[in-house]
Amino acid sequence: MTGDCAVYDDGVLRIISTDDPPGLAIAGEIDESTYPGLLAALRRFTDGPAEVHFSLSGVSYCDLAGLRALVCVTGASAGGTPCNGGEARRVVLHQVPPQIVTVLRIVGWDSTPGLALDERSDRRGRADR
Amino acid sequence: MSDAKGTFGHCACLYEHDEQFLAAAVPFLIEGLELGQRALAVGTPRHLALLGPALGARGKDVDYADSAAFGHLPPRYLAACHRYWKGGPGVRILAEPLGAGRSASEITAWTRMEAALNVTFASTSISMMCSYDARALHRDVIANALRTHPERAAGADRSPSAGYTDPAEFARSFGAVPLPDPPATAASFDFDGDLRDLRRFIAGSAAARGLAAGRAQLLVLAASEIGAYLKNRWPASTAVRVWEHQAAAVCDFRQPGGSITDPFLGLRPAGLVPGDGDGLWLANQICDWMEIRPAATGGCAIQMQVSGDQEAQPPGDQETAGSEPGNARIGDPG
Repeated sequence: MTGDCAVYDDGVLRIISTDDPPGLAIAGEIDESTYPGLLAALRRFTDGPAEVHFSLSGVSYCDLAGLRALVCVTGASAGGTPCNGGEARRVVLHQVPPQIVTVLRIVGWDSTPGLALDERSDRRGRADR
Repeated sequence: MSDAKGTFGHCACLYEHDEQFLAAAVPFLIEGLELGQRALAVGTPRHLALLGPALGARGKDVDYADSAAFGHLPPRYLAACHRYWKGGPGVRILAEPLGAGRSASEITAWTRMEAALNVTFASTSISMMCSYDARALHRDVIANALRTHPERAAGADRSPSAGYTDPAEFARSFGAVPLPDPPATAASFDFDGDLRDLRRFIAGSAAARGLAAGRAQLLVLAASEIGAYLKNRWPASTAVRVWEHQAAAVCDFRQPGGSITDPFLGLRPAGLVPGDGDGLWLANQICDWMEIRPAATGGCAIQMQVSGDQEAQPPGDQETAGSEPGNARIGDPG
């Protein structure tokens, strides 16, 4: 994956763009201080490919707003309009830390249309806890 | 009662014998089914067993959930009901949130939740019937049911509840006692707005108190969301304390400049559209309990508890029963 490059790195959150498959590898902490960096990295998918992959194995913390931003890349309906302001796409979350799986289930976002959790990686994440 | 979208229905059914309960509950559920609505009965096995024969052939069309599993804490109950609705057309929910055997503090929390439903569900098209067993409950509980429900049911009839009280007024006057001060032995931290520092403190305190890793992460998440809410509204630093109480970790925030006047903050379900207090809603779902109150010394206080013994049962798991009617069904109660 020669096209991989860091698109955001402030020492707390590091986001690497991946080409094959198109997506991001995210590591570090997502809260309101790093949220603008996450949003900027996600903006590239607004008119992008029909399927994107996010690897979350390195995410040690993600607040509700950050998780919403990831889920909204699907363009699922929010109050009648697409939450990404653009087209619907499939979003696959890989190596999702167990805490993030828990929050997705609490909020009900795990059943968002277009969102898929890589179950194999999910189990590995659990075993790593 | 209207079932148009955005018209929440909330009636109390006070009963003194089982036939009275069935005379209101059965038409409530069947009327919903005949309108093409989904209908859910939440109750103890005894309740559901009563309903089965009374519903007859329509019983197979009703979803059932055991009240011990369907949102066993008030914020989770509220979320589970909301998830059953799914933002779609009208649904009917029959439940007995204040069943017999609850402790005094549980009665307070569930009674306040009954008041909160009138506000937090106002824009939903959920119709709820809350049954109250007058044989088993203290008369104060019954009196408060009439204050927290705009309508009462007798058989298939509805009448306005004369005692109905403005929900915010009720919530400010009922059970809103000041929070106790943290013990002197609590670990303390001066939160100046750096959420990473706050999370490190919470994680360290949780580990020192032996909280299992998964539970500690949830405590950190809840605390960080509370911290974010406070720092974005009041510039002064917040005193944060953590201590152990009966194998649980309690976390206390004191913001001297804070003033939280919305008694239902953190009780409105978060969605993909951002809303005020979404982070507090998440915290509320994670915790065993969370209280937001004025502090006796001025400002506002938030206290919450995460127990250490539920590693195998993350909070979301109980709610899936509410999100999938197929899962909520526990079998034909007849």
